[in-house]
Amino acid sequence: MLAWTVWGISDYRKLKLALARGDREALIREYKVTIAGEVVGGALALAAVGWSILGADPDVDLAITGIFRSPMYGGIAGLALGVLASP
Amino acid sequence: MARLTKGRQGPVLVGDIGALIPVSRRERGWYAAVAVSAGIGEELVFRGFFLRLLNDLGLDGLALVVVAGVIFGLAHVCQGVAGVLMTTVIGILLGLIYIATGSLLVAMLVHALMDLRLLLLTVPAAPEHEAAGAADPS
Repeated sequence: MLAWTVWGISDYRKLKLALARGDREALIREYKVTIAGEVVGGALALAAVGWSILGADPDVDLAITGIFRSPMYGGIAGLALGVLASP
Repeated sequence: MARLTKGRQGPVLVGDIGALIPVSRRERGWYAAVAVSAGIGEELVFRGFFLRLLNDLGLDGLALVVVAGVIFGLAHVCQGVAGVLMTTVIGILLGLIYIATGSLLVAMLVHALMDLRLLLLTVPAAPEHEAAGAADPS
């Protein structure tokens, strides 16, 4: 966590320097690295805790959360979200 | 991700996030993907995993949500003090949403929408003014 934070500071500083040079591609690269980090981090959290991480209290459950509790349907929903979010 | 409020002269950024603001259509498309992935990934890590971990370590109630929120804020230290404070508050609110609703999906949705809000508060560059890289179809 600490290493990730220190890396983030350094990475953000490099991004600002690149943008100051007019290198707008650096921002796209930063976005791609961020997305990769989110995917890896989320996958690690899921691996560490399991699908119950998404589990809702039955008393306040929403119908759609049932989708995310199933690995198969969760994967399909995740893919659909990815397609919708892609540029 | 980005947090901001709207001022008289346009969006007023909270924290050092100016470099992350997308300008061209291509940048805005990628930013949208970042916002959605951050909503999902960061909620899995900071609310799903850390709340569970801290609870296993003995924290409970408001202390649990606050400590998890502080961890979330410190993860945004590259945004400066204001950014850390803002993301800490947001982390606490998202933790409360998770616990109150019992659903991480709700927190994911709120998180993604907060980040996507940046696209509504900023104006995309006209195609002729976009950066040369923005026209790259790759």
